[in-house]
Amino acid sequence: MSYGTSSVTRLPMSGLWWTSELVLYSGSIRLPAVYDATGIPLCEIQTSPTDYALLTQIDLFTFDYSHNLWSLGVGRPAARGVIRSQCGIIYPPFDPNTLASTIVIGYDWTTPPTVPTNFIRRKVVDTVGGINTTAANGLRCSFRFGRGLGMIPSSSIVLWLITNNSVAGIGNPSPDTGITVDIDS
Amino acid sequence: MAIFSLAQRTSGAASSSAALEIIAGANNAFSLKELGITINAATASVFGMGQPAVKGTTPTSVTVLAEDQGNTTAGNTAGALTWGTGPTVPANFVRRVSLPATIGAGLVFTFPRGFNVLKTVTHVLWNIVGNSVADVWFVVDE
Repeated sequence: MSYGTSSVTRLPMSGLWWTSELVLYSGSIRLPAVYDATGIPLCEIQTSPTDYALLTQIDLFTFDYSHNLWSLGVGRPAARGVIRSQCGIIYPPFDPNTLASTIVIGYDWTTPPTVPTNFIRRKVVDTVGGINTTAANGLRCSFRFGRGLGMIPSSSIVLWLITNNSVAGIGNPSPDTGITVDIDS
Repeated sequence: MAIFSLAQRTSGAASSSAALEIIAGANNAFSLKELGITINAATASVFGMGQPAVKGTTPTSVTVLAEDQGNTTAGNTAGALTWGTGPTVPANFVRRVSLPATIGAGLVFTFPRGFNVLKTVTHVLWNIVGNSVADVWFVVDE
């Protein structure tokens, strides 16, 4: 695989045109506290108006997490959000000669994305011990996409908090979440 | 061949009932690549996977989603959680799993060569005992 600005050949792949220079980008951010909200987006991964992408994995690690039960989903929002500020741009982990990524990952919106009509993945994440116990740090929830989730230009994928069986306002520390996204673009 | 998938929260958890039915299209087979389960309640759960003796009738089905967003051809496989008449228990299971009474317990069945299901045929995730409802997903290659 070559990097840089050499000529690009667009190859068909199951209906989607890709460049011959897919490059792996990876980024990690810490999401803000969720508290007791439910039915909300946790983060959104957006492509630029010109670039395709293949999302290969999402790793989520909880930190300071004392809520009872989360159901998390991955899907394409019915309507893409408008990110309030760019919370992080995914850069390639190595090779300074690699083109900078145009993928944006955001967790703060002027207009949030809307819930996917159907989810591509959903998983349950639970604390050890349940409500009001010692916060369970480091719980991991991973989503893997063997062939990648194809993303066309100006589209997005959301990580959605489907349900949140928490106990409100009993001095629970707010959960923070670290998320790592690997993406080919 | 293209990859499609779907994730659902099961509703049926009673003993000896179907939690999920994966339904091949009328004219298309599918190759099941993986099926994942995480339970939503602290209920020890035993699931089995296999072809039902009789498939369900009048399923309320949801068509799978393309994992390649550029693939504008709709999938043919569907998932169903409810039926007019549910599917019946497989004569034999191809996979079984016992999960502890822990919210979030689960696993992923993977089929590197694919578990092939012919057109009009179905595959079920079966509640062998009274189970927890679960977040499930499956990935197919059509």
